[in-house]
Amino acid sequence: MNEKKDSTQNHEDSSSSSLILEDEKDIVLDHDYDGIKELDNPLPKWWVNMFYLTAVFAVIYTGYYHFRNGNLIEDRFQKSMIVETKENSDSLSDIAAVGFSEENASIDEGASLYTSRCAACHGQKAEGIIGPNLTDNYWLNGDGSNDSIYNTIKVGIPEKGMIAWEALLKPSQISSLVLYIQSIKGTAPANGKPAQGTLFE
Amino acid sequence: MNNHPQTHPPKNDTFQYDDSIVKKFIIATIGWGFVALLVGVVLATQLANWTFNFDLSWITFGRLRPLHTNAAIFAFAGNAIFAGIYHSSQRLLKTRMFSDVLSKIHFWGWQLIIVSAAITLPLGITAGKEYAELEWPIDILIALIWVIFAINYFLTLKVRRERHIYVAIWFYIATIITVAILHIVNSLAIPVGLFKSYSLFSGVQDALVQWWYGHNAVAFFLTTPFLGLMYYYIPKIIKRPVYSYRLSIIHFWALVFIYIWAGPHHLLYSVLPEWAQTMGVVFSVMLLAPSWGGMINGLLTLRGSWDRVRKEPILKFLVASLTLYGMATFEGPLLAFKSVNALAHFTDWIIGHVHSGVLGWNGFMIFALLYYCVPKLWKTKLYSDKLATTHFWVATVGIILYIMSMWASGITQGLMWLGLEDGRLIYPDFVETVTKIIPLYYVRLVGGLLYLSGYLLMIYNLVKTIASAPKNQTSPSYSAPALQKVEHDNNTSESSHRWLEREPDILTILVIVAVAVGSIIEIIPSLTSHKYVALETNKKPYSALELAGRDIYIREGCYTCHSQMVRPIKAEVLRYGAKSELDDSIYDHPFQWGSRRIGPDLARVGGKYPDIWHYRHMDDPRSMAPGSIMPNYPWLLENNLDYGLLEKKLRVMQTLGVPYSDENAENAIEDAKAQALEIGKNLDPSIDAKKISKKEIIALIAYLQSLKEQLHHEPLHGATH
Ligand code: HEC
Ligand code: HEC
Repeated sequence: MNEKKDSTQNHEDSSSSSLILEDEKDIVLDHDYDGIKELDNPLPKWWVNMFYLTAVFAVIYTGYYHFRNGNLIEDRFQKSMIVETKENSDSLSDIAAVGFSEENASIDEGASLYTSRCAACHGQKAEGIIGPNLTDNYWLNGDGSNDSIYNTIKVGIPEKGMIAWEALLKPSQISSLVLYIQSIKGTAPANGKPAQGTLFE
Repeated sequence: MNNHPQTHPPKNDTFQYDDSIVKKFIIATIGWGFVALLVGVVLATQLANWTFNFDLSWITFGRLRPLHTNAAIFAFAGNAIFAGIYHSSQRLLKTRMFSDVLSKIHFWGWQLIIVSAAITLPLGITAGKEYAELEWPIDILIALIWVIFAINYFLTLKVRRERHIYVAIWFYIATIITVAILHIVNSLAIPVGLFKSYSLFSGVQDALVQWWYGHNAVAFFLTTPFLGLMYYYIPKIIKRPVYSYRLSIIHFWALVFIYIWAGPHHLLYSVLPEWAQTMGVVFSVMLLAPSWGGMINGLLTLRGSWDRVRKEPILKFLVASLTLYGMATFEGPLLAFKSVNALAHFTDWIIGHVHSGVLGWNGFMIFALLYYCVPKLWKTKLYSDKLATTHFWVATVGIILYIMSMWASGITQGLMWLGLEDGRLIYPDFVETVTKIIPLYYVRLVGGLLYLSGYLLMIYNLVKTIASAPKNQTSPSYSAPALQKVEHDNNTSESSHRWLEREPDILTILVIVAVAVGSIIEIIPSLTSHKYVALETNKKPYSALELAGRDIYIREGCYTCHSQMVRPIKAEVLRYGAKSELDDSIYDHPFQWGSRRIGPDLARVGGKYPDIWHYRHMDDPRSMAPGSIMPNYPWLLENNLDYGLLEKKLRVMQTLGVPYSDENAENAIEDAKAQALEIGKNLDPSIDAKKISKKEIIALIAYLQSLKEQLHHEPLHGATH
């Protein structure tokens, strides 16, 4: 930067006045702000059109949602849920008819699902923590048969703290869990929770 | 060359600019910028690997995130704006600031605010409203300091020696006025104690006010002042005339008028009346042109100088800053569409969006300003152009990694949340949608580290520059004639806007009108709709213990990771439960709808798990949800609940219109203790009920269990449309 010789001046450095290109000579405005000049270029056409376009779009968008039936968020939501329950009622009755089934189910899948979903409450070895010990022959709910365990997992025991799993697990996955639970019966893990419920042999 | 064709004064005044205030703000910018970025990197690390809070309450994610956002916006960008405003305004107005004392009060007051924020936020002293977390004594201080700044600024305008005010000044005026309005309205609250207050508004009303404020903090703290800086520094640095005066007029007024309407795009699919949501969408779309107007006016000013961009790091920063501004202001309207928002809201896409704005547009503009101003003010040369160029490239790669990883993680997680197969969620397990994106959190961390490294290069470069400054610096004097009174306004050739540029008072009033229109139209109806709901609702207010638990929820900043707004979207209702209703949050002063779901929505978590589940989960989330990245909260099991303020809290809530009876308030403490003991007894036989019932965890559990659907809920006709 050039060293100042004068003690007083208009601009910080006199070289700061704008460089004006040849084709700009006619459109320089006569104001000067600390050496800054402004050109009187017109608004770019495409920019103006874009502005208009967004305004037109705004009107159409508002009309689409608010002045045609059934497009509000609430309407769409209700519609999606109606279709859902109709589909569901079919498939739910299917599931109810299916119940426990060994088709597509496996102990391995059951074991890994158990670790990720159930161990937090029933313990890594199903010894029981929040939920009861699942390795003994005592049951609080149902009789310990495949169908009964299937049903317990499916609908849960919400008032006692176990959610219904049917929204989160496929029928075949629930069956896998049943297979797994049956497979660990009698393992008598360390620190097992004392028996709860009724004995079923 | 005659610069002042209109005035022919006999005598020139001689004056000096106050550059020491500019230097102070510059040094504060450099320091606080480092803090903001460092805290950001710590947070990025904690999301990639949760153990990096070392179980220390004051650096858990929920407490640190507000510190990061406040430091980035108000400390880093804030100090930079003030530096730029003080530097450019004095020169554009040809006068020293009206009062050096007021300037100094502004500077030291602002630093005091930042230090108080840095102390209170990690301690969990927070109002619980995003980007407005600071508690009421600090809010009052902010308002005071801002008013002092405004007085100093408008008095400076009065003593100016340049008749017309340049476009940069219009933007500064819009900033000063609007930020004051936004801050004051959004901070209205009733104190409970020195460090605790409850927002005057609740539920949907609080949400609307909050995002009217929040979005316009982006507009009037991170956009208009930076456009002002752009209009000064680009032509100054490049020594070229501004491309189009007309464009600057149109896009200025369009921006000021339209921006204020866009806030509700943060509340799409919420219980905000849908007409207000739609206004938020369409005004966001209409913002595209006014925003791009600023970008193209900047870029076209660089016309004919592109060869210099290749050589000069400062110009590189400016061009990249404008480009990222253009990108972010294109992405914003896109994200505002209802259909896009259904996917993107609550995900990392939004986090990426805001960082392209702040790291790119604001950060790069600030770096250009610093590299230009530091050598100029300290009357020396930049220590190393090469280092500055390296800074540019390192920071650019950092931003690209940041934005790309957040796009990928946002879209991935958004799709996983919405994925349905045979009417069933494909990924019902929330943790699965979290572990999926952890690798991208590491990419983001690398991006953040690169940006921070570039910043350190800049600090080194600037420190070296300042060290090389000549020892005895004298301030140069300038001269200009004082403004003469214009007796008769007979300058007929002048356009009406030129006339306005001579009358800053009138321009200020017009700005107030422009921002008032959108504000009033959007906010007033929500006040009335809210009253209507309050009469109809059968929602019971929180019990005293639940209220105490809610304050712990706010203190820990759980809202930085958890939303409380089940949107009317099928997948969401399947995952969380019945969609949220207006009266769910009617007594929530402040509302806690949240903006990001790092963890699942909690609006319907009540009754989902037994108390003991929450007890174990809060102590160690991974014991209940393997793979979780939620912090441990062991201190909640150790700290005794402070019952002291409870009665006062209920009284304040009463004042705010929550239907507590006088007995409720009088018996608050006994009621709370009784409820706590009940919960303690049923927790687990192995836990001492008496002892545990005194702890904070019990209040928090009570609060979490209270978050559920209203029974016998009557749909509130008319209120949601
Ligand atoms: C939030 C904790 C929790 C989780 C997670 C959980 N359970 Fe339970 N579970 C319980 C509780 C509590 C009970 C006891 C209910 C009662 O008292 O009737 C229970 C009961 C049961 C029973 C019936 C036991 C009996 O004695 O009648 C079965 C079977 C069962 N759970 C299986 C599962 C499976 C399989 C999973 C994983 C998919 C699972 N649970 C996950 C808490 C849980
Ligand atoms: C760093 C982000 C983060 C913070 C901060 C955080 N959480 Fe979480 N939270 C999570 C994640 C991720 C999950 C999902 C995995 C799990 O259950 O731990 C979760 C799950 C939960 C759940 C279980 C929800 C369900 O439906 O399964 C509750 C309850 C919860 N958090 C409460 C809290 C509370 C209360 C706070 C504040 C004290 C808090 N969280 C703070 C990330 C967070």
